[in-house]
Amino acid sequence: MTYERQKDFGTPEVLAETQVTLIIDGREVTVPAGTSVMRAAAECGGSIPKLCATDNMKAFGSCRLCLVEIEGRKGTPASCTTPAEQGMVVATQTPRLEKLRRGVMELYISDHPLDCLTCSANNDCELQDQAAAVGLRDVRYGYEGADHLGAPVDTSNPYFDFDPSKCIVCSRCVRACDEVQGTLALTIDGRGFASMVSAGQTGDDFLSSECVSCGACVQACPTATLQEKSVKEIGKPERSVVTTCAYCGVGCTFRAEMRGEQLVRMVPWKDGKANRGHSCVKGRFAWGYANHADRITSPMIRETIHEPWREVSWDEALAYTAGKLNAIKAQYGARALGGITSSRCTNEETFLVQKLVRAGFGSNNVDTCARVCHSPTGYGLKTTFGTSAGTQDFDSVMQADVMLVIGANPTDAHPVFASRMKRRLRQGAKLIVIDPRRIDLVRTPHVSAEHHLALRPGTNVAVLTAMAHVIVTEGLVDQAFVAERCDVDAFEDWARFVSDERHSPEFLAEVTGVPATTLREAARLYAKGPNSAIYYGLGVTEHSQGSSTVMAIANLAMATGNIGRPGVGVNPLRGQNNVQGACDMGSFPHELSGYRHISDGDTRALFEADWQVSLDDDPGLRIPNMLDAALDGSFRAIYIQGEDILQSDPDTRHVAAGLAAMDCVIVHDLFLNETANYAHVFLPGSTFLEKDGTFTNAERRIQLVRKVMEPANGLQDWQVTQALANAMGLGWTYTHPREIMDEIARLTPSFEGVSFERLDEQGSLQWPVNEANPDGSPVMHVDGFVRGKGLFVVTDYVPTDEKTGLRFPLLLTTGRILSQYNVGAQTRRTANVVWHEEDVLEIHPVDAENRGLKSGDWVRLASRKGETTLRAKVTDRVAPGVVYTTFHHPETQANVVTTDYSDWATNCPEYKVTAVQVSRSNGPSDWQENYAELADRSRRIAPAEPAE
Amino acid sequence: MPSWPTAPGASRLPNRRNSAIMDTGKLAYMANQIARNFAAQGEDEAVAATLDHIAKFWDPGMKAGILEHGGEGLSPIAARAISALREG
Repeated sequence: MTYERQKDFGTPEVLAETQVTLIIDGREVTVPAGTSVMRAAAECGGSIPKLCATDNMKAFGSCRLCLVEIEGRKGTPASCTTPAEQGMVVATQTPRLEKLRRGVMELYISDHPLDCLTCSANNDCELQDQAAAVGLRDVRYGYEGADHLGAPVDTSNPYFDFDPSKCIVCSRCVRACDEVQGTLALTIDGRGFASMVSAGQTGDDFLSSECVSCGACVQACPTATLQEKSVKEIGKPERSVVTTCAYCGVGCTFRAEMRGEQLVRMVPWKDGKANRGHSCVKGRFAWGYANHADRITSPMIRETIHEPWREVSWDEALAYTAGKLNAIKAQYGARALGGITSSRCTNEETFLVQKLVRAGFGSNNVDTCARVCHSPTGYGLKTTFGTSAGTQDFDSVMQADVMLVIGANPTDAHPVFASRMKRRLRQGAKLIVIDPRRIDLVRTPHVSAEHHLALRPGTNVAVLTAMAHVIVTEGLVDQAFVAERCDVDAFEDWARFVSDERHSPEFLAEVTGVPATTLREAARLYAKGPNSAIYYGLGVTEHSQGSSTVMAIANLAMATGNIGRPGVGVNPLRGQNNVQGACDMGSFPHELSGYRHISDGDTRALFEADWQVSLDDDPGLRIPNMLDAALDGSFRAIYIQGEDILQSDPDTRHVAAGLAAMDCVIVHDLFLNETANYAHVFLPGSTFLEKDGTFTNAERRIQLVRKVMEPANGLQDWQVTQALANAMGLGWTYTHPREIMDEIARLTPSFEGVSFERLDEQGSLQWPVNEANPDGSPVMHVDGFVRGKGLFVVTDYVPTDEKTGLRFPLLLTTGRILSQYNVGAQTRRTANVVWHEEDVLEIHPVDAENRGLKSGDWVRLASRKGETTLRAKVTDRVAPGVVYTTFHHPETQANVVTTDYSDWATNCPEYKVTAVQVSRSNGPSDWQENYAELADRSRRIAPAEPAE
Repeated sequence: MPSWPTAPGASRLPNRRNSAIMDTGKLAYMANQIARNFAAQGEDEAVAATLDHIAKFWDPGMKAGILEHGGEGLSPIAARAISALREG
């Protein structure tokens, strides 16, 4: 697509049943009541001049350029703030309006530099466009008087500059920060002529302010006042491709704006149904890793992990790898081989990796990173509702009256959706936060949680069961819903269980640390809604009772009838971009695509017929089981696509030992990640910008990923997997990912109606897409649960075996931060490090005082498993007795400290509860020093042999 | 020079083909953990649920491993479930 700005209707779309018809410049147009005259004009092809109006925020009525004349009315009202009415007759272009607009524009231009030819927004500037539109030919005043032309440029933000000399004070940036992002970091400072956009407090620049660099202000700016540095450096884009972000599970749609093969900028696509035109600092700006110098683009092999890497051709690498795998299979059997699919790769790539493992390796030893994040969601929601997925679309939140956020930190981990949540909260919805840490959402501008249940880490089930106790014993159950939609016998068993006094808030308060009164009030608020929605994240799943907590959440939603309509539901916020898709595609060792168990003969027969192979009917190994089996000698080789288990998985020493015990570790990735330190084969990967395929976001929305540039390594990831399969003799012949999706669709009932063609037409589809739901399913379980009747499950609170004591008196919980993503492989290779250049340990002032620590001190963080060092940050954001850190930096290796305790049902690691001690330190731990040296040695690449 | 983090004797690992895997003590811990989380359903139901869970989610090597385990340290529910697994 050639480059042009997305059409801007000036004011937001209005959803109303009543329609009004009016005449604009002689054309009849019918719009929903409440639509502005400006938007109505745009709907019928018109274009009223405007500067302060844009269609993703409320009308402001300040620029006075969009004036119109309306028959029977005095004056010239602003079309952006004037609602269209039945029978209205509007003129948008008259001599009177022309004169007024020219006068207004003249004033704007009188304090604006006339450097259009050298301006970075030249030919892409709304001010320039509107000056042309109103026919401005002369500016009579201003140049001798006071102006802002010499105002200094704020270049502090790594991604965009603020040049106040070009500002027309339209307030679009300020309003975008308020209405779209909800951070309220910007304001108009001063009055009258001195009015100026200002970030934060006096003395702040953009970097030091509360600005979160979401880019909404840059996108909103009609001039070059707020402009991407990349546009200044490269120039105006010349073409664009709509694609899907490869960061978190929100799945934002972006327009990749290109100049030649060079990416100029990523701009959120207004038609994206997940993000509705918004973005965050990662998706909007942090794409520089794609061209980072660390990127490896040639295949490499080595016999042992002690040797330097040797660059080889694709043919040699694939033949070497296939030879190794076939030899291991022949010697040790099919179950000695396995693979890990990537939640960062496409559905098609993930599907191929699990197919390679099942059909090529001959085992079911395939797993995915969801093992360490949302596998309990799979187990818990499948058990209670019948399928492993969130129940709602993101739009649903705008109809929620109460949001219960548990174990999630949306403003950091799912920032674009968090902005939607904040918008709804500012409209009056109530918020309950259940989290040991005071996450930003608890108190943020114009948002304050009704209740923050700062529970002790590891007591989720106790808190949720206590809430259920209140709901049942105080008669707050939606009896009609339960009777009609749920398994009543199971409900009665559950109700009896939770009613027991030992599950009362009073009885459990000592365990959970949550005052009984607060818990009761929160339970009542949730139960009374009327529309109550639960949003949860890894603070729910990454516990020894992760699956129980998911089921306890489902129990609450069913008991209160909060399932099956907009505004309610159970919503897992997925961590990585395609966690949902990777799970859907059969990445778990016990099930084929569409969550069908491998022991199901009918399903297996379907795949066997299609793939022309015989499949093992026993479940395979999960990732931690693979590592255990490697140490035992029965698991010898692994193909890992796009995951860095050495950094992301718990108990790093154990992971390292497991990998080191294998005969053949194949890493398929963009970079020599930490896992690659233990690899024998490195297959270079491609970025999301370099491939075609689909991602599925947290709302089950399948969206196209479109290639915008050629792969730096020469092959898209699905092509690499296919080449490896063929080197092993499988004879695959896919020519495009659309053919893989066709195969997925014919083998997976919930994807039955999905194809690249339909996705291209519709923009996106939410599974299930089948005969019953041909256009997909924004909300699930509307008329009945997938499993038939909803199943209440008794969830007894079983404390973790990870105990604090004298040696390890504090509880460590780990998490994420806005500017970094997962193991940081991508974001650490961008300017995002300016916000988070190292992992730090948050510690409460009381605990810090007891240890003589202050912010910035190096501290030793030790558990029963290992120790690391990092800097302390003293803050009351964490409760006394709790410390918190992130796992974004390999230099810290936070997972050296975490344990191998895991969820009872899925082995999802218990990252959120580790007993630790914190003390002052004067240097890195032995592990850190040894590991740094080993990593350096392992990443050696032998010089290429000279050509003969 | 620091040693490479690895498993003791990793290079001399036995040739095990589809045999029992893993530290059976760890498998017993896992079985107990599963049983403990089903316990509130009542003992008979918990035994059946534990057995079903192991059947559905453990690979053959793990099942063989728990069957090799002598039963020491298994909770009553886990022990009954493993016994039922042995009987097929």
